[in-house]
Amino acid sequence: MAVTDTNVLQMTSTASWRQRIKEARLPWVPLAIIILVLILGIFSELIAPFDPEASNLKARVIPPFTNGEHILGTDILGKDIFSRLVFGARTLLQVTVPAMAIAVLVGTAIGLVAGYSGRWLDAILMRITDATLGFPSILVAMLIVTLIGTGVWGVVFAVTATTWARFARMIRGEVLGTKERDFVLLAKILGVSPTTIMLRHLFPNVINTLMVMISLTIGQVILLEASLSFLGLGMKPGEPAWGIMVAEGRAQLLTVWWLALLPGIMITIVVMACNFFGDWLRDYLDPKLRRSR
Amino acid sequence: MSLYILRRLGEGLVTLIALSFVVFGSIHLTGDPARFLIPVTEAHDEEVYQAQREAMGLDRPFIIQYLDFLQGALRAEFGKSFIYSVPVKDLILDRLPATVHLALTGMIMAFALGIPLGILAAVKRDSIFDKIGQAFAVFGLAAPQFWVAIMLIMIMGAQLTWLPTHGRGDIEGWWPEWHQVPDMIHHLMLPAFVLAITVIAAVMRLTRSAMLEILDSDFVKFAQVKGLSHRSVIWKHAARNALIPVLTFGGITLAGLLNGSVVVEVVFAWPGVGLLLLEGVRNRDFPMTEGAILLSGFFYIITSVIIDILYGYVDPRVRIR
Amino acid sequence: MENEVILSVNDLRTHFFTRSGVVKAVDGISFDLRKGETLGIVGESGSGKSMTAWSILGMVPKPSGQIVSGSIVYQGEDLIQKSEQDMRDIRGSGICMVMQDPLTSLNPVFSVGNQVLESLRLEYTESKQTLRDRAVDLLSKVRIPAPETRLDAFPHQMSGGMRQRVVGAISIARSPNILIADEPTTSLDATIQLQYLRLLKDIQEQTGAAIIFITHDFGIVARMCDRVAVMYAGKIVEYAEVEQLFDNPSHPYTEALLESVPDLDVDVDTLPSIEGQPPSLDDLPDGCAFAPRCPVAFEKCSVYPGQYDIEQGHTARCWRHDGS
Repeated sequence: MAVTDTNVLQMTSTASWRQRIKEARLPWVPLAIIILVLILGIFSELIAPFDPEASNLKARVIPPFTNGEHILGTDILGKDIFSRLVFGARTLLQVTVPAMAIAVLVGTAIGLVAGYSGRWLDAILMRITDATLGFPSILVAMLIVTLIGTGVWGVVFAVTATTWARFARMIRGEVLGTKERDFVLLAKILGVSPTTIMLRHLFPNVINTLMVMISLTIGQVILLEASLSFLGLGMKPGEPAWGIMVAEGRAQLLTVWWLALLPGIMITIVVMACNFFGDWLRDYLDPKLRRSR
Repeated sequence: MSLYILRRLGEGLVTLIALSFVVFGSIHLTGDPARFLIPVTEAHDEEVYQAQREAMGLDRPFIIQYLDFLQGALRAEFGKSFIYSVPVKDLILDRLPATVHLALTGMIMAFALGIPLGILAAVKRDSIFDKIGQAFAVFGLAAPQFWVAIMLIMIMGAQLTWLPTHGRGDIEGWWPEWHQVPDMIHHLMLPAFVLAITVIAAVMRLTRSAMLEILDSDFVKFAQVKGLSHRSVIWKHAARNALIPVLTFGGITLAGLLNGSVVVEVVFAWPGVGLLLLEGVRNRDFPMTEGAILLSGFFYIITSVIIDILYGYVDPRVRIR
Repeated sequence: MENEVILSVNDLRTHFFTRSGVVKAVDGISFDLRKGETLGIVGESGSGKSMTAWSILGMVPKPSGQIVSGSIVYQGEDLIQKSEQDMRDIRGSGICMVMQDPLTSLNPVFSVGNQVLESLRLEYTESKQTLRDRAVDLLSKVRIPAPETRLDAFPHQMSGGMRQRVVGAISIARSPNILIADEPTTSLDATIQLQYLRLLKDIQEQTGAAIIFITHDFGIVARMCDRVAVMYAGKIVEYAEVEQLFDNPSHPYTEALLESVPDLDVDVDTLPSIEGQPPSLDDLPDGCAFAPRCPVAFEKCSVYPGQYDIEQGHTARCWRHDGS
């Protein structure tokens, strides 16, 4: 067996719009899943047939797909599982969006400053960043939860603390690469202030890589949140979060096994979708970037 | 080479000290251990509170408290657990073997399975084998560990009772008796596997893509041109180079294992440090939390330093840097 | 004086089947290689020179690449029909190749000695010490100073010129009958280039090997080669002995190439170059592939030209020589 295949030819693309979308080979299924989750989260009240926290002792322990009213069944207190899943999507959004936003902001700020200032400031910031980078996220999360307590904000900050470093590092790398380029040097010569240079010139160049990194990180963030909720360090018990549902399901594994199964499937599917999307985004933006540069 | 080792060790030390500072600082700045230990009935009594603070040395300046803490930490003395009223050190040492066994087994499983599978997937690119492998990798990286653990327990516990799903058996401490070994392995299988899944997925993926890249490189082509056998080209030349990025990943996988061990220990009722840590956090048991986090952090840092040093042996170019 | 033919390539076609079409990397080439002779294959990048070499070695990148027709006859047998196992036996001991970049040709994690010994072990089953002596001998043959100490060095610790010699040593370790050199001097400094070429010539004299020298540099062709094949867009457009080619270039592409080599003794205002771009290999015109850039093209060129004899041992694919 000879050597594996190499890329022999570069595709010469003729520019039609439609062709570009086809060539881009958008990952439709992952995209659909992500949009679905967004819809479920935003319009939870409209979509969920029942109040997720309302117990109905007359309709307990109904298995999924057996009942017209409770499509996915109910748990030991009669709460509708489908509704809990739907509101769980909302909790997911409530935690993930702020967490990622803060992590990105903090990480980007530090990365920009470190990359642009150079020398000792850069060295110090990077030492800190690198030390935090590989550190087991659960330990960090636990530390934060000890500090702040459980609940939404505990999780948000736990997530932020574990993810900011990778953004800082990446942004700093990009900045280092871009800052020697001519248009930046020109701005410097013209006397533009460092902050403006950072915001107007460096940042827009970094956005692509940023987006890729965000989409690749979301999956891990979701898993971290679910784990924290499962361990009781996240949302308060009883709140509709997928991790909590699995924890409850575990206690009732022999009777209400679907309570443990279904939310886990949801989590897996969403994370898979995010990962696929992130991979696609990275492949799509990367070579294009090289070419257009 | 020795310079490189020294440098790495130095960096590790600095990180450790920084960690101790962060841990100590954050816990002591936000919690109030004194108030915590006062019986509820006397909670409003200021005098009792002050006395407690003095007794615990909490009225001294921060730096002194920190140095005190550091001194203790170096000897692994973290005070007594609030809940158990037993020195944290003893508690941790008691539970340590369980966690180490688990983590080591998981790590070995992960690399022993992940690397060859990754290499084979690269060599048999686009075959059924490759596709299944990739599907597994995707799943392994997306499914929450606690959930997979529970699903496996459900299957193992209910349908196929091959492996035990709870606890560690009757084994205690580091070295089991000979006759206990099969039982120990039995109990280790499931939790170690769950722990290893994410890592296997990641290692497989990484090895595969590293191999693919290397299989394309000139020196592999040259090895073929020289007339070397297929086996030699793949396992001697290509694989050795592919190991380099995978080893680097080794340090990161350790973090993943430590992460996962908390959850796995919870689900499988595995009496390890992770479980202890969780209890400490849940119950605001400060000495416990400090001790457990620092110790875990310590192990993580040590292991990544060792991995880096090993990396220096495998890839001679690194030593000169 | 003609030696016996040891390699005979006939109408070789190597195509790649990609999503955007069929890329005809090598499209019907034929040539003979004689014992002890040096054949030069000249052309721009993308002309199919390297793929010819990989085809001979049976290492065309799969799965998209395939030899679709033709024959490569070596020692009386067609290499294309041979199994991978048989090809492996031929590689290294019968036919070997040296590539352009010596740094990437050597495995960075193994010492130089390790890699030389690897080849020797395939050929000789002697003791470790004897093999080591052989390795030292090989290294001195390629004029590496203090070879005993170099054996334990790593590739990144050597200079480019020395690395290329090590690669050379490895490739002749098993005394192959045919050595293919794919632009081996492109990454070397000009002064080192000369030394390397002289070394190759010496080795050829000593071992009697035939060399296929792939290059884009006519200076090297003049220095090293006995015969030349000029390739363009996967086909051989001119095939001749070296003197014949330089004295009587008969294809417009060859002429253009020769013209574009600047003459150091003459002052010019603009450097001559060939207009246009080489065609993309999945979208070749029906007729002569060079026609779009050819200064003397005419209507007949829209049909694929045959091969015409210019003189004994000299052919060209151009309608101008069509008798009329």
